[in-house]
Amino acid sequence: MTLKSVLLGVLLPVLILLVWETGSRLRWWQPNILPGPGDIAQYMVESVRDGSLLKNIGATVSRLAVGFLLGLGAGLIFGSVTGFSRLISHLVDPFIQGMRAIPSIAWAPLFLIWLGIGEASKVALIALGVFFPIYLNLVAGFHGVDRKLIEVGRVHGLGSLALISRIILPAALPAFLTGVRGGLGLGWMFVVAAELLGASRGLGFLLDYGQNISRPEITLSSILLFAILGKLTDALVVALQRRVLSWQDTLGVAR
Amino acid sequence: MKINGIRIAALLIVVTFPGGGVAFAAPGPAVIRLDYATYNPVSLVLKDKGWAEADLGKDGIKVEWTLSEGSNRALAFLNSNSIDFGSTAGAAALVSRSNGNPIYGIYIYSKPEWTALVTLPGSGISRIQDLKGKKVAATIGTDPYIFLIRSLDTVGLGLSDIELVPLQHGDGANALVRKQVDAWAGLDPHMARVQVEDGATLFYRNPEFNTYGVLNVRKEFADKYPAYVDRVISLYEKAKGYARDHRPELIAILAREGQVKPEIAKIQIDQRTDLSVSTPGDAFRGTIAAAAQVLLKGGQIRPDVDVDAVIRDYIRPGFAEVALGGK
Amino acid sequence: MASRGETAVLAAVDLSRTFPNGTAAFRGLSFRIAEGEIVGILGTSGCGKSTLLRVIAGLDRGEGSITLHGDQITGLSPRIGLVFQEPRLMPWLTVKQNAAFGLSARGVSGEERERRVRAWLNLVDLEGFEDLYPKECSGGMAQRVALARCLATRPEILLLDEPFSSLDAFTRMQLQDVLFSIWEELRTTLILVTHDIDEALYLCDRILVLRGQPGTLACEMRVELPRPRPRGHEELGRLKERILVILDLNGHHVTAVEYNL
Repeated sequence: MTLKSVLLGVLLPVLILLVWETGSRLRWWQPNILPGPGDIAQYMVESVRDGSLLKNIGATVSRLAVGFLLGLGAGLIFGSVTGFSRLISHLVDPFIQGMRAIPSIAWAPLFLIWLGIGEASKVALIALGVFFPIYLNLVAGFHGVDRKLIEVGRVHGLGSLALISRIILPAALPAFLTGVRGGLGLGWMFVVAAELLGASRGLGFLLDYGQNISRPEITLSSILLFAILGKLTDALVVALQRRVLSWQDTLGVAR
Repeated sequence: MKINGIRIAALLIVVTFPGGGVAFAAPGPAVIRLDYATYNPVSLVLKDKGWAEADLGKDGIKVEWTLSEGSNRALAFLNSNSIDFGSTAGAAALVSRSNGNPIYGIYIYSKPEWTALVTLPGSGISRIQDLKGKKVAATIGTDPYIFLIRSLDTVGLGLSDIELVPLQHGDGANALVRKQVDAWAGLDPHMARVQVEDGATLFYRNPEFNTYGVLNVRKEFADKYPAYVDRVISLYEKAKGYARDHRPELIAILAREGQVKPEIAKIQIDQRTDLSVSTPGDAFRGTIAAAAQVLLKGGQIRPDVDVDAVIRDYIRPGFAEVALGGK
Repeated sequence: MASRGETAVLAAVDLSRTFPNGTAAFRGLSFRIAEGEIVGILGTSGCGKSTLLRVIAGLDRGEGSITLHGDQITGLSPRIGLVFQEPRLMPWLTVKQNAAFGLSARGVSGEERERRVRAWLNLVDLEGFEDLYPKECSGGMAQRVALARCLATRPEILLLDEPFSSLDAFTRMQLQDVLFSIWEELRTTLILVTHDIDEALYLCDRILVLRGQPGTLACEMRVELPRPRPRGHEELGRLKERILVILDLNGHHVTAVEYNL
């Protein structure tokens, strides 16, 4: 990450901000349709002062964290088992592929009925979103392991479990981390759907709240924060990828 | 000048072609977008009878209908220029207006008792005080939400003393029935439904805290086409008169549109809907001003808002006075 | 045909291998290999020499008999090591970790493993390169690591399947010398499959020449010249010509006449 690349990356958002602020001040459009960055900043300052913004961010982030860990665990287990065993793969994979096609908004009412309006339904929804990319990528990672390497393991006397832990899992690590990155992204998206299920706190709640009381700057603040936090967590995974996958002999490590 | 056939034909075409050459009526919009809702039974009659399409169609104007599932939705549609006329509760519209939504309140479509605090028997809740620490479902930005705030205020409680569960009206009713919440700030016809089908009780009623059903119009539309605002009001008044004189049919239409049994619709219409008021007058102003005081206290209306000025700018009885001859 | 009363370590009697689809890789091979010998298996492609090595290693099962110290070989064994044509290093492990892979697979850890790995990396001339990743290694370096990995577990017999064929001629010669110096140190029995006649003549005590598809044993040749052998020696040249003649017979002997040239 050179200074030049950072500046280039920041150029477009800054330009958009300038045009946006200018346009809203000069009333190029109605303020009730699109508030300016100034109004958004004002709301954010107010809500930081009265503590509500941090509470809402905290609620969303903690839901996402728990859901993410659950989805990660499930993805690891199911992905490994399905990746390693052809039999289980034929049994389980078509079903999981079918479920994958169902959009998050469709799951929401089901989870609402099954798990109620508490945290359980929200965390479960997020975990579901996180699960699929991790599962799919891990299975692909397993299937893509070079058989020549496995043969080396067998020649050196490794049993099935040792083959998985010493060769297959490390070899599947790049695919797995790709899945983690995708799962995190989907997790953020599912958070919004989850928080529309009667959540009284969170960034998704703020999104809807702004709509309900005709304060679009609240909705926009929520969108902005989603973008920023989403990018931050994504950057963390990318940094992890760079560190852990530096051995890869590929064109680019984790862009 | 020789009179020849071509000149006569041209003259005839110009004179008879609609809108060509000489215009006698003020130009209107190409389409007028109305909303309908189960909490606005008059709108359901108007839509069912097709009078808007018939009347406005004479001027070549199309009519589009959008379902509003609550005041919050109707206000969002108005704010985003998705509808021209929207049905809401008076206090909800005031909050929205105070946040910048450019609307006028122009007509009262009903004076209902459409909201109350609802619970299931056996929940241990019989007074407002019992709500402390409990889960209460309500739709933010609507009359039941405001009703809840005002009710809590009467016993010195605020929203922070309960656990608010934001759900749209129908979902809130379902959550109550499934015992996922302890109480619900209800709205008809869902409220009547859970009374009849699930034995729910309205443990706190207060007709004074219900703030009228108001028809709102976007400022931009009203400033541009004031004559058509009058027209729509007249159409509404026609539908309202019909509704008053044909109660059984009104009940049938509501039952069909709200997907509830007729005896449930009957409760909402016969017991809790007053169709006698049309022009937004002092009584209406007083009601929403009272609501505003509580909302200022609770922070739902921002402290820097000049409530009186907002109310003055929002309520526009002029259109109804013109259309109805000052009823 | 074991050599001069030395102990036979490996014995094959009428060994064949037919694949499940019916194709035979090789047929009717019988040979004995003594302890400490360097034996080359030479042949053109398709004669089953790599398959033969896999059967000896225990990766595949053949028909007939193949014994190690008299016991039938039924599967993989820590006493038999195998070096492949590609280095097959684990890309996520450093040179040192790769070299230690065989040891840690067999449960050797700690100081013992450290010591042996360091010793082996020295032997293959990779001192100083311990922390490189395979992507930073040349083909020759990687194959050295593979050698170290295999030898660190001290197998009795080391099988090598065309280990240097993917390297350039000069690196190949270097690694042949590395292999020889390892053998001098350890006297491990080596069985080397190769298609490079010069390589076989440079390194081996005996050469089994396979011919045909499926492969059969065309001849067993002894190379008496003492090692290290000068590469251009005329004895080696004479033997090479003999091998070329052997390999040209009973194969696809194409003449100019047949092709109407």
